[in-house]
Amino acid sequence: MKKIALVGNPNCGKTSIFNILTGLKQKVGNYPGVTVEKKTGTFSAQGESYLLEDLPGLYSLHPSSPDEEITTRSLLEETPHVIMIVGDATTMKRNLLLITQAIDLGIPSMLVLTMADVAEKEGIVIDTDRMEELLGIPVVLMNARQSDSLLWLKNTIKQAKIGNIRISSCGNQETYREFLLNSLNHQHEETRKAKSLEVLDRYKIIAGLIKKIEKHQEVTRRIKSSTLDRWILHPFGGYVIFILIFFLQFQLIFSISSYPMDWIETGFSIISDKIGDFLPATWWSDLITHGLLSGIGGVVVFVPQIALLFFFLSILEESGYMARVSFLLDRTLRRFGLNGKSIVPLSSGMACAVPAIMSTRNIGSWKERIITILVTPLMSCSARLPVYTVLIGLFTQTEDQSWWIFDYRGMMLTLFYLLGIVASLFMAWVFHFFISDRSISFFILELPIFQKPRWKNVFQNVFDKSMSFVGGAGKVILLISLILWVLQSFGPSDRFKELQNLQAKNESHALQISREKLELSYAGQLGKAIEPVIQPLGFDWKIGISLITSFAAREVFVGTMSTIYALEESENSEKSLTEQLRNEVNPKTGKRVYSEATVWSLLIFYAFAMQCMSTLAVTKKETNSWKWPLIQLGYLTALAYLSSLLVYQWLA
Amino acid sequence: MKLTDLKMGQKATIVSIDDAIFSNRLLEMGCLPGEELEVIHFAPYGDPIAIKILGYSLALRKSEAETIEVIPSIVA
Repeated sequence: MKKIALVGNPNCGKTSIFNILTGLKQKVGNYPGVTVEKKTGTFSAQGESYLLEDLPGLYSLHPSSPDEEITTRSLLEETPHVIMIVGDATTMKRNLLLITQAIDLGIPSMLVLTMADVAEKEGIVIDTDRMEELLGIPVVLMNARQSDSLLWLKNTIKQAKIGNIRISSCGNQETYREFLLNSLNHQHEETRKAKSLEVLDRYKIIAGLIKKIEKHQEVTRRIKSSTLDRWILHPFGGYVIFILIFFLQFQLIFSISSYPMDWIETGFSIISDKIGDFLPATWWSDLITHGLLSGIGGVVVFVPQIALLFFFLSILEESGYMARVSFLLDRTLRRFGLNGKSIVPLSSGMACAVPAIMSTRNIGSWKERIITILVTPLMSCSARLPVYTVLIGLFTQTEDQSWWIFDYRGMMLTLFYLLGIVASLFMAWVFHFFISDRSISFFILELPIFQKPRWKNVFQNVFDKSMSFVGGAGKVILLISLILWVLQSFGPSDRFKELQNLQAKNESHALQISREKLELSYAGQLGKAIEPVIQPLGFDWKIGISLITSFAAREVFVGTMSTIYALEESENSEKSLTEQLRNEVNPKTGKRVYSEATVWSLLIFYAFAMQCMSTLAVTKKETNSWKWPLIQLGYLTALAYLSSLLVYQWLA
Repeated sequence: MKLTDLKMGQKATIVSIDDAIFSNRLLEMGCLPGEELEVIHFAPYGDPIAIKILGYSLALRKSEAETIEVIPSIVA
């Protein structure tokens, strides 16, 4: 299969081209050794099948951030058969820098021009025939919103050819590739000068090219971006709009997702009951209904929330809004040792810290990038959402507590999201005193034109991210629910076996027996072992079990709790977990286990604690050392423990 | 004068970029000597600044903008 590399400036419509060409035949993997998402897909054209690789967007083959470096290295080291260069017709001059650089690599290339319709509205008409002639490679005009140009695009691939060499100062293709590799590996004053000379040389030639290929016309109306920007980038109004958008987003996520979540919950309990009735009462039927099914249910139920969160985030990103938020917040974030660009990882951190930490790669400054990585896990990720949902539910006695249009639970949730934001900023500020600077900080960022989100891209993104949650986190959750079931169903003592026999024979004291059984099981023993440490935080050994299991991933907390309580009160399995927790009474004191102080303490603990193995793994990969994940784990655990201790002791 | 001395909506032509550290990135983004730009937005406290150059909007920090030497265009 022939490999095609897809390169282009950020925001040039590259992803749309990728989606149009490959459709559903996509795969998201990782580059060897690093965790940057590697998107590949296959398609066929004129009887030939191709492997298309979507490389991170960049402005020049001289990278200034780690993700751009991937693209350059990939082009130099794993030479593709064809380079498909995507160029934005609205900013042809800037795009031509990368286009001519890519052509000079001496690999058969073709150019795909996007946004020609937008350019025309701005009075720019591109003469593609002239362009083909001057660059020496085929040029395809692609309207990313129209799929009828797809055939043209596909039929041009075979005509891809090595273009005209443009820059004499860089020598031939071989010496140019050597020069690129050399300036990639050795960064000093000499290479810097050579690079800027190359860029200036290129722009000189580009200036001549542009005159021949671009025709300017009178513009009758101003483009929409500038009017919208007057509001969105307004020194005061901009912040109000930003806060409103995010507040509305979380309100919508919470209110819309509650319907499908209810359906899934009801659906799973019906299936579980039906299977329970159908199967004989043996240990393996118990494993299926209480271990497996409750585990799967615990994963699936959060898909609506996660999908919605990614839906909104990709709309904001696709439309060009996130870049504006970076612009508005750069100065504020800089005071905390962050970069305006940190807002993208920080807000994606509200979905999942793993892709968020990967997205720090476009932050050029090492210090700002490390700080962003360290504090991103404090943002309330979607894995915390289920935990918050269950625990916040414990505060309200009636289901319907709302004030005007604001849902009580939505307000509490907003509070915890705010807590995550404040904590991450505070910790970033603390870290910026301790981490020494290795590189300079800069913020040179394109504000892309406003566009209607391309729904295909949005839905593709929602699908990819939701599937990676189900596939990645889901596997961990499922595995842990099975381990948990084993830990709960077996115990070390003789008394445990005695109880098991008793349970089989005696029906009358079922509840008391299963309580004692849980306490004596391996799981119970583990929870008991850590009870002295967590007692000052107001947690009992059952919460202890959940803390241990959710070290792998936070959302496991809910699964564990449902497993623990499903096993404990199997006759009431339809009751929602929240209700069961609400009715849980301490047998010694007769008071509710989940008092307000305990719930607050638990919420705070989950807001801060580093309970996600995947995040630690990704930090290790991204920073290339064990130092940073260990620091991350250490400070977050300390922060969680101390804050919970403080809150519980104060409230209790 | 420097880019940071321009007012909102003012147009100017780039003369030179004085700082070696940022210059490569700025050149790549099209901030070339002889190119015309327009100041289109100021974030609060005038930092960062957004300019229109080569037909697109570019945001940059005050510290980066200070390295760009410009001549204001004469308004007819």
